[in-house]
Amino acid sequence: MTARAPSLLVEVLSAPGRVRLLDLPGWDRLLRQANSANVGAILVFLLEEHGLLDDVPPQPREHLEAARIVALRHRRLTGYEVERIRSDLAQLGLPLILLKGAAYAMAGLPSSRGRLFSDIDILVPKDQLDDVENALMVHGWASTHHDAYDQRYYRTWMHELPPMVHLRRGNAIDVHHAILPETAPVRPDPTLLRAAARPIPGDLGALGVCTLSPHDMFLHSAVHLFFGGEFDQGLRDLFDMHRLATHFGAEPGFWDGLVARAVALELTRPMFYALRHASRTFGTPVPASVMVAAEAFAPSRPVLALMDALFTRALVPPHPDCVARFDGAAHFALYVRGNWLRMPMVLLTRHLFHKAFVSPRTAEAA
Amino acid sequence: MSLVADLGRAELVRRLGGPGLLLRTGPFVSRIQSNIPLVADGIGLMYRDNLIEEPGGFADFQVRLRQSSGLRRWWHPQVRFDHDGREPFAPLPVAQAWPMFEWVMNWCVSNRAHRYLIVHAAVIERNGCAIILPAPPGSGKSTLCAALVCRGWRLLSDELTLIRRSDGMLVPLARPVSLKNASIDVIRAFAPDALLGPSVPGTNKGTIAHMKAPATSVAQVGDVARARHIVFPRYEAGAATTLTPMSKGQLFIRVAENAFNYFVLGPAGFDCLADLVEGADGHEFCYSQLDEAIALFDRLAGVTP
Amino acid sequence: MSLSTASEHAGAWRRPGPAVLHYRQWQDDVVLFNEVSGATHLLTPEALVVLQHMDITPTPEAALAVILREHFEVDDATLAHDVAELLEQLSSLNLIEPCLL
Repeated sequence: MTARAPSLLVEVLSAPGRVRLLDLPGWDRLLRQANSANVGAILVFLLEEHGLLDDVPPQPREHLEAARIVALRHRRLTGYEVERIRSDLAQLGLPLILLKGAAYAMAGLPSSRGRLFSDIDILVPKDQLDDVENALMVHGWASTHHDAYDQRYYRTWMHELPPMVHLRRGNAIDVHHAILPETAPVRPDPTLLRAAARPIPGDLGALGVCTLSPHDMFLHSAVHLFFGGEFDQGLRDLFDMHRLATHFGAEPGFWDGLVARAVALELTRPMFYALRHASRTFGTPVPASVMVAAEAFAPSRPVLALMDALFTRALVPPHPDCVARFDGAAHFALYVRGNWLRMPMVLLTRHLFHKAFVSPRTAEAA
Repeated sequence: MSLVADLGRAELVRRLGGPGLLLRTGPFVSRIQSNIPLVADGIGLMYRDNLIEEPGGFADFQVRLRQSSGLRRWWHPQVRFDHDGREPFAPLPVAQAWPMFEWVMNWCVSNRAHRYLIVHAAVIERNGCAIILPAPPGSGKSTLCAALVCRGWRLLSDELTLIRRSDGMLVPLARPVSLKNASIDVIRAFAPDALLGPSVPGTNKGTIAHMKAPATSVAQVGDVARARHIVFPRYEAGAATTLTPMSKGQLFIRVAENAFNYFVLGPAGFDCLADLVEGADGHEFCYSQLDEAIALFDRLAGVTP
Repeated sequence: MSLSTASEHAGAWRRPGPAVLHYRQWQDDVVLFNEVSGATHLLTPEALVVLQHMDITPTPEAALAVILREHFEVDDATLAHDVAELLEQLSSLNLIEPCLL
């Protein structure tokens, strides 16, 4: 496979100042790639951070501001939902460990700005799953996937309860007891993860709302992409890793302790891929010594070449003129489990247009 | 600046089939790509007075309507809409490509245009008096809107009322009016000179036809207006024409319920809607006779008979 | 039921968090945007007065009854019950929460 020039989107995410060179057709391409990769809202905050927003021409600027509005609403309601969940589970006396998007948002991380996500993910001890489920149900959450097979699938083989949806508010929560399924080839020990969890800043942190430690947040993000096999959000996920590593890399001990932590959690291979691809794609400032240590966990040369090719393809946003990808369920996860955390307008609009269209893909996928 | 009518059929089809037709509707430019003849027909007819931009420019929305290839090409051929690589809606029979185009154009605006508070409502204007007509489907809003537009009212929009948040002004789209089932014949009879497209049967809403926006309305698409009245119409056979005032609080809630992006906008949406309600009178409106209804609207606009 | 009896059992109430009250009033209609939950409510002027007072400081239920009496025509016989019901509704909308003074 021939080397491919980075896409416009990747160029801009790596070096936002590049937008100064864009003409209107260039902006058109950039916004379409950004929307395709689900980083439209991330872009507006990134440009603002770099003092570039005021120079954006009015037409594209309008779209960036529209993305900001959606992101602000998303953030507002994330905070509200986390507080409701904390309150619903308070009697159990457990720390509320948030994962992924909700964690980044509540910890106020730079990588959270503009990052939209559909569900709130939390981590609880396996032996408390039933208690957690019961407490949620008392407060109006209901399980989805009522089929007995699905229930068993989730509880036994996956690492989470079947997703629960709040009956009145319509949002979804995923309750995990581990970050990988029990059938996975490696087993990052959840006890280690929970023990290293950190309270978020502010009052909610004092009330027990936590995130994973910086190392674990980075490694979890890597696991999600490099084990999950879902590359729809691949570019967005890799950009997460880049931002997490760049942000926490400034903390003493982050780089020094990363490899050892990956070893302890059996996540050395995903760590290797994450560092390799984040630095190659976005220029993450990984210290040379850390990169060398990580390379000890690389796969064999032929496997590495293959994986490089796969990831490179998966992580490039589609060219705007390419034929739409019609690959079912994963692609339309955004539309299948509807709730306000997603682009909420999709829900409302579709309800209003529901009578006009043949039943939307949710019915097919359900 | 060119209009769709200036392009000629061959060039229209070429752009639609290739780099895209950049069609301007009010404040938006849509890049439209489609290999379906019905779409080209519809644009050529319904949007002939609309401005187009040169290919390769900036477009606010991407609308790709393609006929499925492969086996489906000949057996129950379908039209699919994709938007930045995603398909929000299931495919429809290709015979419904034109209604689908219009619904997709609505979807693009209501999903993205958060510079505006977007209400699911018709909006018309006469004599400087702009009236918003929110109504759930089946209330006769579009029939009333089409009738008013055929009797001297300017069409700002049939489906999407755009309230510019920065100053509360109504921004026109001037796109075709969609009519359903019995309304189609009603308007044909009411306004024989109105330009109606072909009727498309078998959609989920029944039979649909579109009425072209008057050329004057399209030409005035840059003229914003301020809402004076917000009228909730209800057609009821045999009913007397009645206009009943609504309290501001009720009006606020009723409009919010009919707004696409009220909740997304948060406090900014609240302020925009509160300002709108402050400056406009809300009414419930019941009617059965189109002529009487139009006379009442004319009176609201201060048009002397 | 007299006010003093009610206050023996009633606690105090406050506005949750630092959220701001966005509202508009037109005569008897109050529309309010709850920044915390993102929901919008159509309320009565009585509810607004209660919320505005709680915005300043946490307030005991009995004190709210007195304030309402000052601003509105109330039915003394049902006042305590009405206040309790109003607070219950506002609480269910996440506009207020119980607290200890």
